[in-house]
Amino acid sequence: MLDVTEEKKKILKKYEEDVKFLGSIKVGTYEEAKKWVGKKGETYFVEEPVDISRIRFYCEMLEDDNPSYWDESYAKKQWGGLICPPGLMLSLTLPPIWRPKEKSKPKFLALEIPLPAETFINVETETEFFQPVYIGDYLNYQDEIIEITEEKKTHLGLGYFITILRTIRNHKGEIVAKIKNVTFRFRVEEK
Amino acid sequence: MRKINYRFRYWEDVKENEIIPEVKLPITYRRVIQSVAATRDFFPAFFSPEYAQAQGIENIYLNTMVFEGFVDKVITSWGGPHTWIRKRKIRMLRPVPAGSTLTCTGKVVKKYVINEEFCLDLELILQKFKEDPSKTEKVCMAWVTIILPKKKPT
Repeated sequence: MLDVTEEKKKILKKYEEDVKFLGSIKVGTYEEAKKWVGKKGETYFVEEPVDISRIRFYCEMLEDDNPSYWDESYAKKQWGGLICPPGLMLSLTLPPIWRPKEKSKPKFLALEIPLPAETFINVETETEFFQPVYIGDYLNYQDEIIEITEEKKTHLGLGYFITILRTIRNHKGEIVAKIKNVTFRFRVEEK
Repeated sequence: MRKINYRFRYWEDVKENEIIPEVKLPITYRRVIQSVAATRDFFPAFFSPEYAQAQGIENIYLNTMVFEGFVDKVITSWGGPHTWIRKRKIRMLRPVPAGSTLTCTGKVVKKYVINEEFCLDLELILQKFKEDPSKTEKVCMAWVTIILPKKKPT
């Protein structure tokens, strides 16, 4: 009989290249991982400014008719201009898949932490919003590893909960949001 | 452009324990792929059924930013476009794969003023179902603090 776990691992491996835009999943021990708590990533500057198409595609997907994102005259009166939906904040800081020139890309620290776990899923996100993000804003952000739990069992398998705090600023240096994200790094065997 | 009549709710209008009415969102293949394109999160589990299945999940599923945006939409449709989302925490309990319908409902748990801001704490529950709407499963919880304007003194 074919080993189901091995088969699953092979499939995950096949997609390694597709995951690389986020970073490469590092395998190691929990003891190694613990040393990463408190570590800060580099500040990464998002290349493109916030633009209206991103906002509209997102609202289109959700069928969100809030005029803060659609109606310039309403948005100007209420917020001082068209704003970015708060739910798009995390998306605006995702690394690009491809660029003509290879620059240093931000690393998703939850993947870089060496752990005996070959895949992951996002489980909890807490975001604080300090001020609106406007069309034309250039954002930058920095991550900090807050916590790595011991091995836990969930319905997906055994793994570790990793908490990372992302502080997002606009080009004026003002903090616009702080995202505290919990990722579950897990392995596919042993249900 | 077609004129839409938005409902504007003010802080004084809201009572603790008030219900935020249910909103549905069908999670078709198209919407899952739209969500990948719109959020630019190309993690393979969101577009490749075999990757999702290798993770132990039946099909491609929604990413975090869809839950966030859906919760925000439900809240701002209820409170009006002048609602400011101050803080939002979501806990995802189960993945929502293509082929399900997502629902969201909630209530006001606390009404208060802090630093001259008129705040409301809301709690929302997201559920999914397949063919039978009576067979729902809780997939996500959200705790959100919003600020609503006060009515202008007349």
